[in-house]
Amino acid sequence: MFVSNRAILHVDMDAFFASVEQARRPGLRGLPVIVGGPCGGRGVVATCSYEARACGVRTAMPIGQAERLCPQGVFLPPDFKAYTAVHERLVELLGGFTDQVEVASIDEAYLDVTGSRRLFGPPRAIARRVQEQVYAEHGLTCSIGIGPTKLLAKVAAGLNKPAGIGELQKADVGGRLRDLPVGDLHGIGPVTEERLAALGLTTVGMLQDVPFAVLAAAFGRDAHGLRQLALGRSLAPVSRRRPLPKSVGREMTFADDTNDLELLRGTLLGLADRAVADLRRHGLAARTVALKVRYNTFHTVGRHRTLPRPAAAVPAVYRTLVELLDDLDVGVRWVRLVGVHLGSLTHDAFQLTLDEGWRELALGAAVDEVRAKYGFSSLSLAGARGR
Amino acid sequence: MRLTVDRTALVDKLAILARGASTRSALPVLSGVLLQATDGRLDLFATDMELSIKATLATVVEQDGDIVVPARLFTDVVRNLPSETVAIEASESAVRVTAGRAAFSLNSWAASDFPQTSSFDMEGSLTVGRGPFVETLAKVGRAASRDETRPILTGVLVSMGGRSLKMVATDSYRLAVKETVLEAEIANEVQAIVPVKALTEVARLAGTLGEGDIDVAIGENQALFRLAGKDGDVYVASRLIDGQFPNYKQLIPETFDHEVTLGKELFTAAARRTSLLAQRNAPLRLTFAQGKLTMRALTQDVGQAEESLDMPYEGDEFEIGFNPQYLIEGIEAVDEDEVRLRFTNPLRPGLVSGAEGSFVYLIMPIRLSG
Repeated sequence: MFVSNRAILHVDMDAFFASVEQARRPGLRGLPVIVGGPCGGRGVVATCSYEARACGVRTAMPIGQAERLCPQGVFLPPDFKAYTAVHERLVELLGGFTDQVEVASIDEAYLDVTGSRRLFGPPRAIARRVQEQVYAEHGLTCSIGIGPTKLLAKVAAGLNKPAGIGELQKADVGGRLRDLPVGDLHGIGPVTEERLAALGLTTVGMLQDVPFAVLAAAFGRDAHGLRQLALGRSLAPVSRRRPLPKSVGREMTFADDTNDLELLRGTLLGLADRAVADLRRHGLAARTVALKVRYNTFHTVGRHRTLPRPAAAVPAVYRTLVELLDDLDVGVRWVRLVGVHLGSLTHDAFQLTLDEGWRELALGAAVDEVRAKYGFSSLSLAGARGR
Repeated sequence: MRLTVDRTALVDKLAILARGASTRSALPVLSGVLLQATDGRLDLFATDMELSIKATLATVVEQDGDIVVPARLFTDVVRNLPSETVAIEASESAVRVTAGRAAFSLNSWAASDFPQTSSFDMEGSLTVGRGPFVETLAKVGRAASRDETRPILTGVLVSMGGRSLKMVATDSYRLAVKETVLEAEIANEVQAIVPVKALTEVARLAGTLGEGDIDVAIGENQALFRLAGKDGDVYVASRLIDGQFPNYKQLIPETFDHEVTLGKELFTAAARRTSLLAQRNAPLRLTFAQGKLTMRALTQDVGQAEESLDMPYEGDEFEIGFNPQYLIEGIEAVDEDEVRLRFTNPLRPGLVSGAEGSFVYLIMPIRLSG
């Protein structure tokens, strides 16, 4: 049984990066644009325009292969700064329709418009207005799915790409949804799809009908979740929280291999500073600190430690890194690269401490403010090395 | 060693020692109680190497001597003996306990295997009343840390001198300071960081033994406490914690931007109710607005709660989050009906106190997300 009577839109930008490039360089319109890189190198395709897709180019394909398939293509390196800027303005635009916006990724968002209908009309009318406004302001097209759950809205958007509007209702779960390949369900990736195929389950309908014992035997505790997906029963609400990144990190390769402890520590301080700045920009705190060291032999070691409480300030992170570094024989062996990764991220509220905790936070906030205005390098920590 | 002892008196003493004996130690002998018979007196010792307890019991000793008996088993045996007169006789590696027609022989350890961590020498001791001691500790004890990774915070800073007994504890999330005025003047001044475990033990014994005094001797690296009991004294010895206690005076801000006064009972009752929905470390959110305080708690996937109280607050609306347990413990520790709360902003410490300043409780907020 559905308990959801909500109206949810899934807004999915069409070939986002490539479309942004085409929008700002009208000369590229109608041409096969492939964003990714580096060209000729080991990079992969990040996004390609529909013209490029017509040649068989796909996301995540090695650039080299894309070049062979589409020699006439326009290959561009990604300009994430530009994409992020457009993304932020799009999120703002969507916020004009409802305050219930969940940003799923740089080019996707869910809108719960249940409460917006009296203001803007039925969901389909809202979807049309979103498309019109996105096109008018940014010259970009998007596909929009409408459904009572995020799951159905997303499937509906996928079925109507590019630039379409589609709707899946509760009733469609026993109808149209049944004929779709299982891979169309968000949450079933290529690996699961393959395992399902091995059981002969290729369509959503098959996944709905297969005896539960068969699923359970193959997927154990995940069986229930799969069945719920097939029945369109994922009721996760539209959440205004952004999905948490799994970790933030920074690495640096030295111009010359080094065994200089001072330089290593200074570099770690600089990397910690940047990683912590990323953390704070997302409003997060980290529970684990990981150190990565690659020796000149290319042998790479990683060490991590869990902090007694989440940290969003440099000192706690740096102290831990130094301790981890001291456990390695870096003074003896030559180091090629060091990296700092902060994990177990949380943006849950966290308990502050009396000992300097709040001073660190206040300082961090002040530093962030200055850097936002004058650039990251306008302020650096004494002793920090690198860039 | 050969002696006769009253069953009930011995059971009482063994109960006192029960907390001292170590139940899970690499040294098996620490799970024992050392019995030492001399001069018409039975001394009993237990230790976990950090905390040692000694109890004395006046009794009839026929032959001096000593032995270490397994604490748990020996206590169970004595408690279950069929008559009040108990004879205890020790050989080198066993103790024989007889009462009425029951006889037990328990394998034991030699006294020389038992580590004596204290001489229980009370030289230079001061005296404080049990009442003031227990009361003072009750206000600050819960603020001490249980986390052994920062040993210094598992201690309470105890200062005595003049007519003052002062204790300070912090686990870095909150800081409690309580000063109690003593009836009798103390001749000299002492200060030490004593493990909260030892102080709690002393307070527990004070509760068991009833009214009276506590003699306190602070040595170089050990604190000693003596409490007189009805048929013999009880001693607690504890190592002191080495190191620098946080400079707590510096942590307490001199000025705050906001101040409110609230009824203790009303506030704690509402806070307890609301906190039922602050599970899994979720904060209790307090929103101060004109004339009103609203409490909120929310636990993802569980539910939420909200309650508001009228209160005389003037100023900008602001929201601050706390660990509900820390906040409630601080407020309950205030001995008055009205509690003062002072804040500056949601990232700075707040101060809980009464109208008079003998108790202050500094508490760090929980940083709220969005």
